[in-house]
Amino acid sequence: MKILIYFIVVLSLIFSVSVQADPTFADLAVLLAKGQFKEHVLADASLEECAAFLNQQGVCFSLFDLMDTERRVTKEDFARVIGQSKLLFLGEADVVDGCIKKPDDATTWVDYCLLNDVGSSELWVRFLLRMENGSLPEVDQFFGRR
Amino acid sequence: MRKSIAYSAVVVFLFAGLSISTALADDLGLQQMDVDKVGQTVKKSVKKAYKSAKDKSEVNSQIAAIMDEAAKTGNEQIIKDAIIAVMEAGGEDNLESCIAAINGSQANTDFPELVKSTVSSTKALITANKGGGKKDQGGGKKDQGGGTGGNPLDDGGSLNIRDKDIPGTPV
Repeated sequence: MKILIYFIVVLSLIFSVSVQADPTFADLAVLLAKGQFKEHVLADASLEECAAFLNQQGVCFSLFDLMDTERRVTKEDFARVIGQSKLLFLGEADVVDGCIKKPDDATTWVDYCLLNDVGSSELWVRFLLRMENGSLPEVDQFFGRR
Repeated sequence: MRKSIAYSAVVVFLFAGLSISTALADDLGLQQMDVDKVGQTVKKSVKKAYKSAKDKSEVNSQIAAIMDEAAKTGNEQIIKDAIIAVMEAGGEDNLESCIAAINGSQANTDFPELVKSTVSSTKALITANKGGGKKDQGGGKKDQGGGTGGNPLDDGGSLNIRDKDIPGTPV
């Protein structure tokens, strides 16, 4: 089992290096809300509605991150929102200042996802591959690009 | 006579010193600051102003001063982050007065398009908290189209994120 996890991590690292994508926080907010929380968010919800929903749950997206089209999502950022979602679904979310706190037994969110078998590396690769096709329509619309 | 001249000089020096220190305190030093720190610095300063000011007009003149300082840098990222920070610090309750202060500043005179688009997008994000878009609340815009097509974060339950017993339900 450990070898398999190690293999997936190595594979995802190789993919991450080879994929040319510009993943933004705005894209991540829309995909996360309409993916993991699709039962709660309308399929045609706007970026601002997706971000508001996630922030209300404690899966934090700052205004600065959302508004900055140059700021790129890192693997740790990605693991944070996935980890926060996991904690929310488990009913173990400890919300501090509006954000779900990282459990003390993990040094980083990437570690948290690895330790809890969340599979964030696999999702991260899928996310990067999706972003290779460009920004989502909701994000383009928000920034007046269409 | 000499005593009174010396006394007057001391008073003048003290007054000048006080004025200079007040002016320096008002200046956040945005020009010299690392761009990444602008947002948090402005946000902290505006929040402090809301706590200490006697009325909103006092806060608004401080906001205008901050935006003037941001405009002086000529750096669009600094201006953008300052706008977001001001509006976030003001929150929904002070949104319109914040926008009025921003619009009345030098930033709007020098960078009208940037100010207009940043204010409008930030306002949309702040006011979205009021609802809409949520299935359990109703609302949402039906004519938007949306459709992300092949959402990589919709794992269909194959990955271990959601609670398998209560799929898709935040507990």
